[in-house]
Amino acid sequence: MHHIATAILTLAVVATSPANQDDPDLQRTHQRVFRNAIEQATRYTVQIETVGGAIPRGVITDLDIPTLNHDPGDGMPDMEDEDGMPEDEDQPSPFRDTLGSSFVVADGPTTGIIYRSDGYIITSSFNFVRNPTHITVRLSDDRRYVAELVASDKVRKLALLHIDADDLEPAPWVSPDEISTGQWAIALGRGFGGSEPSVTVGVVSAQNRMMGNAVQTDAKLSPANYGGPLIDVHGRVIGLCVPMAQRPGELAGVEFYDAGIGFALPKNRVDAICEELMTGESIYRGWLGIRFSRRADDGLRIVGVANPSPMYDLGIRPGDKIINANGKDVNSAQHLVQSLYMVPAGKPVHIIVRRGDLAFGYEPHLARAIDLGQLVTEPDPDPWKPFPINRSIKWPR
Amino acid sequence: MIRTLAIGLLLTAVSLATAAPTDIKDDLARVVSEQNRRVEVVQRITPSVVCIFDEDRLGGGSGVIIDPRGYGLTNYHVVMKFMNTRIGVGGLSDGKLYRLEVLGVDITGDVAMFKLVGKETYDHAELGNSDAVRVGDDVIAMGNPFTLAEDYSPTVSTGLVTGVHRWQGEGETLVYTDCIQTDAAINPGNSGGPLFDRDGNVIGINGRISAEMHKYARGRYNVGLGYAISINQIKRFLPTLRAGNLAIHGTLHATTTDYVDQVVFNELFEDAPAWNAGIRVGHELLRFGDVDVQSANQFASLIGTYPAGWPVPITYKSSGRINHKVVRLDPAPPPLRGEYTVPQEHHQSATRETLDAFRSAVNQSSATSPAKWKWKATRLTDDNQSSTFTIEDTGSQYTRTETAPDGSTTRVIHLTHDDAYWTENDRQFTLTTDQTLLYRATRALRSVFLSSKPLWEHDETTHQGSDALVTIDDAGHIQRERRLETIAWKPDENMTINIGFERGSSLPARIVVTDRPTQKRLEITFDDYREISGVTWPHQMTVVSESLNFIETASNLEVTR
Amino acid sequence: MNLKRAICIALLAPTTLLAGGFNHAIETVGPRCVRLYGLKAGLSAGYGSGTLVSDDGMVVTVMSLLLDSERLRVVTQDGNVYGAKVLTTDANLQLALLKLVPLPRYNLRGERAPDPPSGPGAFKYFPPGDSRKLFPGEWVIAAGNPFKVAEGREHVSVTRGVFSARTDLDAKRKARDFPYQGEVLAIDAITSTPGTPGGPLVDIEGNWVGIIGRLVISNRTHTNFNYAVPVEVVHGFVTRYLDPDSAPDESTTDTGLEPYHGLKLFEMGYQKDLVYVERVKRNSPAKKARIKKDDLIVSLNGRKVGDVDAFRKIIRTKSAGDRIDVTLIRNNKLVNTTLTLEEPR
Repeated sequence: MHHIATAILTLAVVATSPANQDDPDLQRTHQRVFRNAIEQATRYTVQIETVGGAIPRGVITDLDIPTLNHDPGDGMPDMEDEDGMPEDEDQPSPFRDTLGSSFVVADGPTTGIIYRSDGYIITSSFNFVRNPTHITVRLSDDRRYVAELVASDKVRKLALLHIDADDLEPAPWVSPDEISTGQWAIALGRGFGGSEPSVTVGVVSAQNRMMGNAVQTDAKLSPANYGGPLIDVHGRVIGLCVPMAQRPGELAGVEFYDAGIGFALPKNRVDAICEELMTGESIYRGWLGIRFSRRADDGLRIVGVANPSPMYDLGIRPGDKIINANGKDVNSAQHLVQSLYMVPAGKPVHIIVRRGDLAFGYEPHLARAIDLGQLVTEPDPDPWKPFPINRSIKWPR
Repeated sequence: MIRTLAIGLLLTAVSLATAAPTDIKDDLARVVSEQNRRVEVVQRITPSVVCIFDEDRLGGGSGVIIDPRGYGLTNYHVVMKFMNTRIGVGGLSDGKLYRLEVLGVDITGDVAMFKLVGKETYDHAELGNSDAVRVGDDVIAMGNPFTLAEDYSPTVSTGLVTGVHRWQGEGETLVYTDCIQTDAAINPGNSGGPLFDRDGNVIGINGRISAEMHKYARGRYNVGLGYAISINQIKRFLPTLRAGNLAIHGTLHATTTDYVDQVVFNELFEDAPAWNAGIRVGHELLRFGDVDVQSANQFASLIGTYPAGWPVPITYKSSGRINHKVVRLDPAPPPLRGEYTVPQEHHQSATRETLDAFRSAVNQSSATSPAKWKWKATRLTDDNQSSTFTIEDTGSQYTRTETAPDGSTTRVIHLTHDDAYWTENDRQFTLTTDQTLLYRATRALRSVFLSSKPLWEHDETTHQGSDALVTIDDAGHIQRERRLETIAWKPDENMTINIGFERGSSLPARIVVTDRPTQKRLEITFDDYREISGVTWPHQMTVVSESLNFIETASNLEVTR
Repeated sequence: MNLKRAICIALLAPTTLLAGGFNHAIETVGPRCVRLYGLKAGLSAGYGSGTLVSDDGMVVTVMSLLLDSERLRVVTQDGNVYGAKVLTTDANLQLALLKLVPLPRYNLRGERAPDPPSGPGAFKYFPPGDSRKLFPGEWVIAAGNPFKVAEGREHVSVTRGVFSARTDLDAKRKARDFPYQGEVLAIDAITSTPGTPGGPLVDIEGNWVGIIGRLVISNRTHTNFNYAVPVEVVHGFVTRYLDPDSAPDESTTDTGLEPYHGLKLFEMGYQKDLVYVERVKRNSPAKKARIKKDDLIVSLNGRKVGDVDAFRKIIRTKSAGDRIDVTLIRNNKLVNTTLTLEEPR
């Protein structure tokens, strides 16, 4: 008798509260839906293998010096250490590509997505940091191809590959305006080897991150799935998973691996970047070519300018101060980095420079590292020299 | 036999249901509707999340707005760096930055309250009930990890509650007692941000993670163990924090230890709250604050959630007998570098808000004064002698008429604005200090209720913060807990009057009059509020005098104009 | 249709006690997961996790310095404290089997308190589940003692994730190759935390599917790898202890001998020489497989060989008569062939 009563009561409760999380069937339903979405996405998720490549680790060279070489960790709020141990500022961290440190880049398999039926595969440029001599692509049906690296965007971390095939089934994408923060986001990767993609599950954490370039997710992203798809419950691609952080650097963002901080490039960004990469020209990190005083109360006082460099050519010299970049007031290197880190070489930025009591606006085009010259640290001999206004000089991409 | 059969049948039903092929479309519809529910919750609560920076827009933490006027919560360690100016910047998901003023702080518990300035009303989040949280519940964490929110729209991460009643911390500050553990991604910058339940109510403030910090370790990144300060703990400190005060936690001045299956007191200070409640070394602790105590660790956790002076029910066993007591906790001030200064302006605005809320709650604006009221009272003295009398207050004169059981009047006490006396056989006797307290208390009561222009001015009063009144039943369980906001008023240099307004209703629940030279106290609590002529009045009062050793209860209020 | 559905759910709902949502898995895992405490030495944490596998208190955990502690203490979720005896260990699997034994306890008056339950029937335990039923994306719950956050009678720490992938373990621990290279269950819950290895991994129904493995760095990604040793492997380990005559563990081992293949590889002596073919010997297995000079071998049996060392390492695990699928790049095209190894010459 009691059992019947319980059953009826439960019927009422369940019927009015379908969102009850203790409902075991709801979780089973999720599993079936995830499985279905993963099966869809497995078809367009490819495994990439590389051989060769001389640099086993991403070492940051002296080329980085005349620029924004500031450790972004400085500005982070302090979490209490679990064991109360103070963080050693000088400790080598294998996951930061600041000057002198390195992240050991593994050479395991990586992941890509079929972009077009005529052989174009997109993946992350992170997967080729070792400059491999040979790249192969394995499709989900086990067909394997030798791939050509068409070009890569080292700022947005996207790489375009081409294989000799014309019967590929390209991935379906979610339109960026259909993405909602809080929706399921499932990442697929081929980096652990095995015969099926690996899966991590999370939600869309935020949109328009990284200067409007990326969707953010708390699904665990790592070298195991960089280059792979972040999908919705229907198996469509929300974005291409890439390592990213608010600073330049080919390895920037790897430090967030598996921490619930991950980024993916949505369709509109991928399409725009691929259009540029189809030309075969890569996109490089952009540099102003200046070095700042490290004294905290100095603001952004320039102590060195590379000659040539976008800033030198505009007449900016040691002693000048940058007070605004791309419309944002800046008084620390972190501010400047956060305003400019997503701007590649060849693209213009707006800079307001202060000399004495006067402020001037400029529009330098950022330069590639290899185009920067020697660092000049002498202040301008004649501070009263007329200062060029709103000049713009184009630098190569 | 029958039971076995019934379970057997259920099992069959289960396996049939799971084995049956299910159309993926139905499944998808269900998952999508559940997903949309979460998306809606996220959209609703997103505007309440604050990205917190210092004035130079550097550093970063998170916070959550909990009141439409812009009051919000964060971690103390987020605002610690700008405590000298108490001014920071708060970014909201509308993409704008607002001035952020730090109000009160809880250094021990790592909580701070702030107020955003710049808008009339703010979207805010509702506070949930962290005591109802269970391991396995869905949670949503929001905040600004690694200051990624360039447009100040927060980062959302989801997970489960993976532990409750956890204790995390070292030393005397930033201790997380009774905190919620979650596997939702919490990273540097999430500090101070809210942990929501699945319906979008705040159940905690995120502030710590477990991380390995040695040379070869991963470092300060989420590894699936984040901790949130439970919101029910914070709720007890809210008035204190809003008034800009320094929160002071309570202590029993007693510690316990685990002995086999018992939790036993092993160290006590004489004359401390525990001692005065009759607890001695070796007594077994059974329950504290209505929670069955399972371990010494849990007790340490529980006690950390209470403010100093808070009344907490305690149940303990001594030589086979079970005792139920309510103890008021001793203060355990945090170690401070230098003096803590209360920002006057926040202080005053908290006072003003409390009084305004009270006035609108009793509808005082429509009250006409003076009124005359009359109470019937019973006094029970220490030696169990009881007497009945009436209290009458006509505005100019306050009289207490004690009546003998045969109906004959035995004594009349007169209280005027300047004098207090009683007459017997045509002789006039002046009242003692103790008795004067009663007079003062009733004057306070009159001024609270009847003066359209209150006797106190804002700069004479101070907001004292949080307090509570607790009643327990015969089994020691909490029958009723009334949370108070207390305001202190010093009408002259010898007297302090504390008035406690009940949180939520804003009705006066208690008046405490203290004679400062002698430290004698008289406490009146009110209850049974009813409306008379458009004004809400308490219809019951209880007077407790420690120095005169009596308890008086009065009821049946009559009010006439 | 709707009505049918509602009834179906209603019938399922009362079974929360039998098979709940996450709560059921969590309630199942709690009493079957134990916390270990011992000596802290160097960077080793001094605490760990274990999984109860029999009703008389057999516990599987991972090998660690902790097991060398003289006074190893084991705490169950109900707060009972036991001692432990190491029954057996397996250096290849890096697993250990313990038996819980009572520890004398004394009350405030110094009297011996009754022992907590021990012996047959005293413990809740996991019967082995089936990890092969898991598919990627399926919910899993891991339990353990990370950062020793739970003490005494507190609920053990749990974390939810999904089963990510089935793969072989290719990892390092403290710059050395990790001995176990067999199948593991990759998961997306973070379990590479101090104290967690040894704890159970269960599916949403509370079925035991694996043991959280030791902290390693994956060679493929160079990141901390979160994984569990499948229950089948763990069960085999326990069964071999209980019944030493049962089938031995089959594992691939480096024989140190290289069977004959007839390839001369291009070696400059660098650590990372690509596997270019310099010469193919006449009548050799490589010749029969039509491998040619200047071919670049990129994988053996589907496993990537990035350099000559990796090539030799795999070949040395094989013996004469074994057939190996070889993938190579020739003229920018991939070519597949099969190599049949012969006796070493």
